[in-house]
Amino acid sequence: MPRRRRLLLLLLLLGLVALALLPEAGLLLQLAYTALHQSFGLAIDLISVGLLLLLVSAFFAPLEALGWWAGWFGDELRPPSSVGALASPVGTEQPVRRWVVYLDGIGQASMQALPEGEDFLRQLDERLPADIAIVRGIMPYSVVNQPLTEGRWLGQFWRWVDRLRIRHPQALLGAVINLRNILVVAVSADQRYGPIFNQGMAQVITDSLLANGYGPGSGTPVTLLGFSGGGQISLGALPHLRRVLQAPVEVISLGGVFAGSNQILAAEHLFHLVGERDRVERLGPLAFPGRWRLQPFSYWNRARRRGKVSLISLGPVGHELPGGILDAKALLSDGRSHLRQTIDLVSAILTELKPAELRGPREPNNYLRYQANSWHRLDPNRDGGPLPSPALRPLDAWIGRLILPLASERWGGVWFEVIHTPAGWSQLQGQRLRLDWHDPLLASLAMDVHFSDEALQSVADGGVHPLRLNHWRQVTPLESLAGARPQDDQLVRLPAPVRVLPEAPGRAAAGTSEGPRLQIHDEPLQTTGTAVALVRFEAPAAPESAACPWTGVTFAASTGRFEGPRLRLRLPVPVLNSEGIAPATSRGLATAPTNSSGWYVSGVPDGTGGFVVQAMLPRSLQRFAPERVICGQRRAWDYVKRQAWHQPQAGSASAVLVTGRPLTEPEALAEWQPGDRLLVLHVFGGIGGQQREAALASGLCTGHFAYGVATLETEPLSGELGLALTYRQVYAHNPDGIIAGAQDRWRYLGDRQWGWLGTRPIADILVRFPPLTASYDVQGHERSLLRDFERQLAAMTARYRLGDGTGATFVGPANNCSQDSNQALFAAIQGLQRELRQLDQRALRDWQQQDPAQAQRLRQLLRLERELRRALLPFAGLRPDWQRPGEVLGTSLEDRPLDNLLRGLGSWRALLPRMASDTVIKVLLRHGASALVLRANQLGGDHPEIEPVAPLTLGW
Amino acid sequence: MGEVLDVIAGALRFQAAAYLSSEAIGPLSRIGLGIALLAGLSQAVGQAFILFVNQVRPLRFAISLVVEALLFLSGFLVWATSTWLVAWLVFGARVPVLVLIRALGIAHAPQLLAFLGALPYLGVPILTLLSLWTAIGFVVGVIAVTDLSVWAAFGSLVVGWWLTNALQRTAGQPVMNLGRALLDRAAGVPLINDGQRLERMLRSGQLGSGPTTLKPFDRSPRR
Repeated sequence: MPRRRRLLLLLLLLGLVALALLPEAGLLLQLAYTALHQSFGLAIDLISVGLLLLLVSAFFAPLEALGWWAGWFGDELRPPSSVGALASPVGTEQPVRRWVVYLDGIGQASMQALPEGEDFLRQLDERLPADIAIVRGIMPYSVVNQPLTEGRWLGQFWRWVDRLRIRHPQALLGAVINLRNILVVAVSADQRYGPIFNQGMAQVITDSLLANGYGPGSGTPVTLLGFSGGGQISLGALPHLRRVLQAPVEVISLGGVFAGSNQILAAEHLFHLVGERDRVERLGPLAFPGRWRLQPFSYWNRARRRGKVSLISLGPVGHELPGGILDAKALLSDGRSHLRQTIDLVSAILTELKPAELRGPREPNNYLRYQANSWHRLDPNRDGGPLPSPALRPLDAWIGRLILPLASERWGGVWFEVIHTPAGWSQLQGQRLRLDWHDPLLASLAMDVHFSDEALQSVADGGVHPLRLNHWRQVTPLESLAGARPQDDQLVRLPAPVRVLPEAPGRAAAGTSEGPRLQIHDEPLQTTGTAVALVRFEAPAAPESAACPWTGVTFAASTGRFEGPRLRLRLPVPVLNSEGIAPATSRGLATAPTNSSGWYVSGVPDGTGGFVVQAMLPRSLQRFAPERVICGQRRAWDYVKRQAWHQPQAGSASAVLVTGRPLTEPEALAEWQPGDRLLVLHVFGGIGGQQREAALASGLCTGHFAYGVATLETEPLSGELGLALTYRQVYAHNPDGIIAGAQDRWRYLGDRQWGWLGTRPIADILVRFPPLTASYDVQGHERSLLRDFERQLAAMTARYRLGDGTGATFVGPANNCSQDSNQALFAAIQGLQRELRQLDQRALRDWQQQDPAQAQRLRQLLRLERELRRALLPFAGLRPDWQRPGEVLGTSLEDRPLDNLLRGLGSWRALLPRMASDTVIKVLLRHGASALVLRANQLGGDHPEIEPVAPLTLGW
Repeated sequence: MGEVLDVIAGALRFQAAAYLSSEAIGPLSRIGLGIALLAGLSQAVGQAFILFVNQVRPLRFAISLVVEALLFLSGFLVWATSTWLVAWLVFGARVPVLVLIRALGIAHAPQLLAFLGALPYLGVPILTLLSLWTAIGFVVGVIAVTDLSVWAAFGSLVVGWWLTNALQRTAGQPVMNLGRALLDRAAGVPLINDGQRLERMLRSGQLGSGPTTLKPFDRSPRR
């Protein structure tokens, strides 16, 4: 009953204080003392002396650590040999997989652990495989690794006590060593001395690891194995070790006594092994307020909530001998000794996969559910087959599947299984080629991946994470793309230019032919389907359940009407998501208003002369043909802010051109020309209605934000001015298996199983603003801000895919889709500015004079940047990560709740997706940009079970 | 000596007589200053870890403790005088300034134990407890030597404290700077006092005076 005991303790303390304050209390105390003294004389005196000595030693306990820090002792106290040693030599044939550092309990006085500790270490070492090294011989209660028995002015005394204690384990004087070391545990737990002492211990541990062959920077995981007070020492040193080693560090505590204020969150995991009869361990939860439940935000309580702590019961086991954790004589009911049980457990923790790693999702997530739809699963044999009609055109030149290499064959790139090739390369179809992504910017983005407990928890909760990459070193952005899901099932288009490099002659001669290598300079584009057609659906002749009931009349560009060849189409019924919502439906598709202007459909041949429609996008969203033109800043803004999202109706779509300048309608339209590059701002809303999605349970719909890039170009199937649009999705890990990165509209929006077009209201705002979207000729180099921005987003999404090495990215106020997308925008603008500042000023002036129009655009861009910064980053001081990118992303809100919230508020307009979009558009319109606002609400067939919900924004 | 201990014991128990409201009794006339000075020294010892963090050498460490005690004493004198002024001008208390200074000095008796603040883990709560104890002592002390009510005594102390603070930030700034300079001079290094900077210093990656073998390497992505 720790709570009752605490209460008693408190009452006792209060009583004593009250007694001391009472008038004549002195007399009473004196009387009591005299009475006691008369009865117990010597004992009382001895106890008084003992207490006084204890007070004095407590007073001086921090001195060693403080003096070490202040440099009072020079290097005298640390002879070169004062580092730990290996329990047994490590073989050279295989690298060490894990380092274990043993920190003994408070009974330790010399470099040797207590006899039972030595026994434990010897047996544990015998049990562990050769590639796990144990470092021992560390004195955990001295920052200079100085045992009590050597090199100290009281050394003689401690040696005598140590000998006495080993001869007579029950001797009372032996407790003096324990008391001395308990005081050091208190130093480690102290908020003032702790940081110094713990750094010192981290230094001792680091020195010991290095001296025994730990590779600096190798990232090999380390386990701190702390018995009793060694638990506190381990946890105290942990954050410093983690910082210095840059490696995962976990702690196994054997009946550890530790404070709740240690930064347990920095640990990979804490395994806390406690016996039911352990009275010493109970001191921890009693004496350290951070372990009390009253402090929900203490590191201990937060770590427990986040699954960072495993409490493992040892059964009826005590703490020290006899009957303790390391007792080789005391037996359990199953016949094992206490020591044997401890060794079994510790070696299991050290050698076996952690239980969490073996867990898959508890329930099938959407990604697993959707596998049931075989028509939407990638099948290279089927998908690469001949197209059933000339009215279909290939989606792109190079299309194929990304395959993650085996860990043993990694080279930084990935395999690309060719499904479609440009003319002249058809011999490569079906082959598996090496694919490399060549961009110097990305080299610095390779990172080691070690899943955090939180990430593993998220896997169990149904998130799709790159589990295959766990414990891989220096994972490249291309590998993280290929390994993002449990299977190699991502179809991609390779962005031009694709270089085909001939294979090395040596390989061909050696008969290990692999075919040529492919090299790209931009991120592969996640897509759906290999071919595309423009059709108008005709009502199915046969029931919809039949295999191939749909007919699509293709568009004849020559006549401008739907009178081309007819296609036999399959529209597979999508699998419902985990909330029972159908991602798409074909009910009443032929009679829906969007069908009159036609649909672009993308998919694969079905192998029997038909075509599987895997994705579809309405023609009205794929072309430049605005229904309305709104000119003038105020009216344009009013449309974007209010009208565009006003009472969205399911099944409706619109395209409106707005411009911030007072132009006439023909002038506004005439500006948009083939070849124009456009900045895209994408926002989606929620799924409401009868089948309202769970995310809307709070009544608020935050939605999602993404940037993208589009190009205006003549679309060959229709001959119209069309929009080729790519999203750069900064997307946290999710149960749908959506991968952060470059996504085709076909995949992200149009896919009938994986996309959002059929279920969510969306807005794609395509901005034309030459200072931002056109390129600059800087001293012969073509520079495009939009291109830089894409690269920044590629870098940001690569970090998102790996959660900066933790395996998971979580959404919080400071890090989410809109915050981090806009952070990338700032990084791009700052990059261009930096480059211009580095230019020779005279050269810059010449450049401005030679091309005044370009110089004017640049000035406009800089003005835009200033205003965007004011709008998006009003409290720059709160967001050092935006000024100096490189901080860790998307940590969970619990990690540093207040800090995270404050950071989020530093860029508060980017907090909500739609508000971020509004803010950027407003500034752009003010600077004279024009924009095509495309809106669509749950397009496709009839879907009365759901209704569109507009995302939340704030008015100002 | 016995009388001095009696005064201290009385002050610890908030006994009015201890604050010597009547005329000074022989050798006890300067007891207030003595207690305040020792309390200052005790506090300096209790907070000595700041000197350690700033890596002050042993001899300078001892000198710094003495300088800190003296600075504490001068600060105390300014504050006690302000309190006396407020008690007189605002609350109309008629008492010689020396008597009030002596009473407030004696009220510092609990702070004689402030060196216990250096105890690991228990130090911080002990310091909090002592501050509370001392604060009550101040009120009792003022009441003992003036005829003010509890609230008036409390008011004089708070306004006096506020006045001292205002003085330190305005006219007293040069004196404060002098004090700081003196302390830095004694310590031999510019002392860092405020918590955040101390923490930064501790976490700056420099691992004490021991040989630094490993610097953390930057693993975060750069662009």
